[in-house]
Amino acid sequence: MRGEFFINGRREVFDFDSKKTLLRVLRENGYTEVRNGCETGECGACVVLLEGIPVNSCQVLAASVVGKKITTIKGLNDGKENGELHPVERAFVDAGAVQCGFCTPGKVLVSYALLKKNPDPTREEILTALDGNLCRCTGYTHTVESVKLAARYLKGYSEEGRDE
Amino acid sequence: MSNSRYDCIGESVEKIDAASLVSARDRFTDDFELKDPLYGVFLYSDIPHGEIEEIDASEAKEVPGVRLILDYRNTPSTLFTTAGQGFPEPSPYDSRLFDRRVRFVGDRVALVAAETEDAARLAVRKIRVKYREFPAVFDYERAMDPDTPRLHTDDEHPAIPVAYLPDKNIAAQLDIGFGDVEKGFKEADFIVDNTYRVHYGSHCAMEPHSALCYFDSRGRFVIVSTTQVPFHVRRIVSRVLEIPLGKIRVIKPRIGGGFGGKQEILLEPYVALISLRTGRSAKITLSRKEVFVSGRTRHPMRVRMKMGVKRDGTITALFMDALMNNGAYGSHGLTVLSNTGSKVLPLFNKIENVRFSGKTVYTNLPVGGAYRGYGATQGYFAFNQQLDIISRKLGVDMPEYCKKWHIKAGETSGIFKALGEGKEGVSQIIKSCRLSECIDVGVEKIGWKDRRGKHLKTKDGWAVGVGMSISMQGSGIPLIDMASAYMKMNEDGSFNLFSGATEIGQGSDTVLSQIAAETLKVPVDKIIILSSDTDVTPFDTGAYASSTTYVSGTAVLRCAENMKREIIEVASLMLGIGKDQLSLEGGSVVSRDGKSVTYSDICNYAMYEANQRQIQAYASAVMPESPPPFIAQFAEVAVDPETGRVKPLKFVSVVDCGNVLNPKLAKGQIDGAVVNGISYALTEEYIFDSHGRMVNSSFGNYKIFTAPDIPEIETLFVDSYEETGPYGAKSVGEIGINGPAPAIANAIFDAVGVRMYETPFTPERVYKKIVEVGGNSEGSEGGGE
Amino acid sequence: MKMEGEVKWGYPGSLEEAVSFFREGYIPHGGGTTLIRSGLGAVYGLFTVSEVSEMRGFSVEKGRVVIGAGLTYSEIVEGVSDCLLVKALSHAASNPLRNRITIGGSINVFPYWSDAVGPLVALGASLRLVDKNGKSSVVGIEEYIRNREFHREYFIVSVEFDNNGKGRNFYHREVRTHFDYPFFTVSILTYPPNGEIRIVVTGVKGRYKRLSKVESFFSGIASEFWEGEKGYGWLVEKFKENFAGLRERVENDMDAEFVSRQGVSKEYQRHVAGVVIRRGVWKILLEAVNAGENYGGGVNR
Repeated sequence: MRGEFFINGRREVFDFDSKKTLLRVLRENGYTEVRNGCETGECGACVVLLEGIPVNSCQVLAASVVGKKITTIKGLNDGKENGELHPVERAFVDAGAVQCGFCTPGKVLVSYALLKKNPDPTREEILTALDGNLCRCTGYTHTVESVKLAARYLKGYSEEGRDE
Repeated sequence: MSNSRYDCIGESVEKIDAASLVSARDRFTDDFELKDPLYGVFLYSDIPHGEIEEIDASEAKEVPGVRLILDYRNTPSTLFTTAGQGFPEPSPYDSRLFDRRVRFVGDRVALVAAETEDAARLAVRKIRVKYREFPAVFDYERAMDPDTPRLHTDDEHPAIPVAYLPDKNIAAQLDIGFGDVEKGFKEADFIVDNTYRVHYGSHCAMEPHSALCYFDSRGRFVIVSTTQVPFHVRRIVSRVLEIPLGKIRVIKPRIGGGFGGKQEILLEPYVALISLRTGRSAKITLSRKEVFVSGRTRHPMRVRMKMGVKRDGTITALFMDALMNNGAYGSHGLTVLSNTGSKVLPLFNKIENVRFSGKTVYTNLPVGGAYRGYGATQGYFAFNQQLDIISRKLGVDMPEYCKKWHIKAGETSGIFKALGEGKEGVSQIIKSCRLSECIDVGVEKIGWKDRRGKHLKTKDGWAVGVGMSISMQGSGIPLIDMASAYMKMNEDGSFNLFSGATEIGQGSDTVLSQIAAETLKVPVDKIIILSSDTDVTPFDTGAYASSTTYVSGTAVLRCAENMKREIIEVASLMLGIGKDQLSLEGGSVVSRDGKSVTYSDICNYAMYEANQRQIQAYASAVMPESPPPFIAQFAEVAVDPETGRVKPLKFVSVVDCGNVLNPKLAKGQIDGAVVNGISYALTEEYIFDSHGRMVNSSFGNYKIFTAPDIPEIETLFVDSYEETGPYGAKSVGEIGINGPAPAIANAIFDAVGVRMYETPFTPERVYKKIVEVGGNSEGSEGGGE
Repeated sequence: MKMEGEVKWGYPGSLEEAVSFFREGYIPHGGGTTLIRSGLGAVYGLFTVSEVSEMRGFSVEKGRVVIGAGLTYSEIVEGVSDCLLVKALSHAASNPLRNRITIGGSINVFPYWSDAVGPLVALGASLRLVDKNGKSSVVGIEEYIRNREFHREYFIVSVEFDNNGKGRNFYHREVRTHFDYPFFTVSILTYPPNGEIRIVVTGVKGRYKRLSKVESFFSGIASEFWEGEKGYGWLVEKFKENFAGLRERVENDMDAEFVSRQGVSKEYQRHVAGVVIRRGVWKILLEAVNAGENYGGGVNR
């Protein structure tokens, strides 16, 4: 079947199998920044924002989200490849929360979505928001710090014009 | 903890790939785009032990898009080991690409290569295999019994002259020691003799294994893979497929974690074989389930420790007997087993009578491999509980007991010489050790004195206890691990650094750049590092044995020092001043009388003006010793006496890893290892059905911690200075994982008087023990959810 | 996932259109996580519910809560005021999954690890169903679960229950780590002042059970409590001094059969359920005491 999606602000039209997951459709069409860690909805590496809300793309049937807005990690930087970082990304780096980096985009997107709704989350709210992002490298010791730092960095950062 | 003596050593320099990783601008293996690749999918055995009588792939061949189906009939039958180790490998050559025999549920039977992954998966489901099933052995403690089935009865053999007895299902064995343990036991006032068991674990690196192979324009094989050991990959693929080594290039891109699970040649020969047979590029990426079952695991082990103790605390003799479960193949068997002794026994070096005997056996179960800690983790589970028991019996506080008896700087242990990794070891004298200070700091941070033996309760009525554990690891394999580096200078005063060392997320690229930058007196961003490409970077054994900072770092240090000499030589020509008058400072060469010339000028001069040359340098390093890092770890837990649930409240690690080159990265290594160790102790397990099939091969049912599960974690460093290491460094990659299981076990005993001799400490197991011991199950208000 | 054959997709903009798809053999796509797990091989067609307003809203009128079947766990947790259901769903699965799992899909599939059904049974929830002709009917949740015909011939439009704000509740999910499939769940709901208590376990044989015997036992204690002037001291006497005995009583009275799974035995689960239930009732009554609800004199704990 054929369907259109709005990915990182750009209109895309894909031909895809009616049973395929969003994860597969995205990766097969070049959005390899969306990662496959388990494909059973249990690790969070494949998280994307669907209309601004984090979901495991491996648990979403692509056909069910035709016409919807999808944001991958690259959407935070408007597709720029020059090394610039979004404040939430910068916060994760500065807090020392990045080791192998495989799980990190998922964590960043969840944090971004949380902070949009709740600019000053408590420790509990942060841990609950990130309860579906598995990580084996860092031991999660920087989780709360990264998000609180991101909250600080976001103050005064304008996102006008971003469509997600 | 910034060290003002240095410019960037001791600084938490930002991981050089952190920004590119967080924004996903770096690619992992599965992200690489290939032109029209063939996708490979494996068919695995669904029986634990048997022989293939018939494979019918006729229906599978008919699936549109299928191009190749491989099995034992049409592939080389060369025996090799999948273990990523130096040549000749200490693991037995007992694996083939495809064997006629299958030896565990999850063993490889066939491989389908097709135009799409879906077609390959569909075709795999259509292959019909008929087996003649053999009886299977799942209990490693019965594997050597005369009536249990033998797994390897063909021409499997070791590559080096070590004990290999497959007719007894023994994949490796050793028996070393000194003194006379029987005499020692007689001299003791009391004996502490217990048997401990640790279980299967999966690394759970977030990135599943993946490999791809394509041809460059000259028809050479280029393999990109999630490997910790690119040079071993090249060698083994060459040997198994009989492709000249020079026709193979192995590139390691970003890796999503390894922890030892990717120190194994699992996929590369297969993608190369698909390419070899079809002339097409090829790709295989494992599913998470395949990683759990058909990847590698931590070796389960039974460790018996018998120690004789005098009333004054002297340990008169120690006998350790280890039986390890290697699974269906002998990967890393001898070396993990050896490490159980070589990393544990030297810690208490005053014991005059020591014997370590160990065997690792074959069973029809998933295969053990390299896993952070590498045998030390298993051994320390036993050792630290013994220390807890002994110190309690002596009426001595365990921290004090440890401080008194552990190995100190200036001392040695007979074990160093007696036991290496599979062969004789290398004698060494400890040059840096601040373990006692680590213990003191930890005692304070965990609130030991206020909690130990105090039978405190949480407000919900859970019993609180504290326990501790000490351990040492190593820094590379002495006289075996070799690393090398090459540098060249650019006209703007920047340097390309080529290192064979393998960055797998731990930050080695960053630390090696720091070493080079410090030596050449430039900021870190003047070092452009490229690592792990067998065509471009010089040799390195790979990321294992905690060798990268110490061994690869020394190669980089020497290389940078050679580079320094080259720079000064040209500067000397330029300035007309003797080399001994010149030194490096802030990206320039300066003379004693105040003249200076920048690196940029020097390089331009050398490239274009006179006596032209490329300013470059190289060096290799193989280290004559393996200075151990030391760690003291402390756990505070709360145990619900009515349900056996164990909640870790706080975990403290205090580390002596020499001079800390990058505090943030070092802390990252310990934190990650600690949380891995805690969930391994409490919630992770492989559950098999009666047919040897793993029934919980997904994150849904193989439980590792997420963010809300972790306790309060505190990680601190007590710096020492290891004079043999680059800028005083030792290593830090593995050691953190040794402490959680024993420290928690000791804390559980402190809390509810129950000793957990076996991992994992799931609620049901702890509760059963509480009931057995007749412990406190009167009931409480509970809570603690 | 079986790849042969296509699945048809429908995108209804109204309940009427949704019914028309249903009539043609499509089934509602309620988030899809179970479907992806089990494979879409047998599915003819799916229709999305995101634009069907009757399935996507919620309302509260005179304490009657109505939740659209197409609402996700996250939406329910955010939109509905605190109650047993919200408590249960707020830590179910994981954040990105809660953003996707719908209450309707969850009730329809009712896997053994469900966090939704236990609370809904305890709340005495009803389901508004609609059939292939658009005819709507209301059925109790327990009846829906028992009758397979409902699953085939109807789809769920909304879920409703009373939340009059007076009851106290307790919820427990027995898990290994935070993000886990519960081995069993325990929902406890009280209805002062008549002492009625509802105790529902899920994850047992038959997928759920109301523990009527245990309910009667605690109901006796609860009505005594609500009769008034039973303070903290009374609670301690009834509970704290006899925790083990109470636990045994609960274990004996539990007429539910647990299921050994993932290496955890049914005997152990039964034991823990007994502990949890006793603790849950204690907790509820203690909260009531501290809130001064029965004039017995609370104690600040």
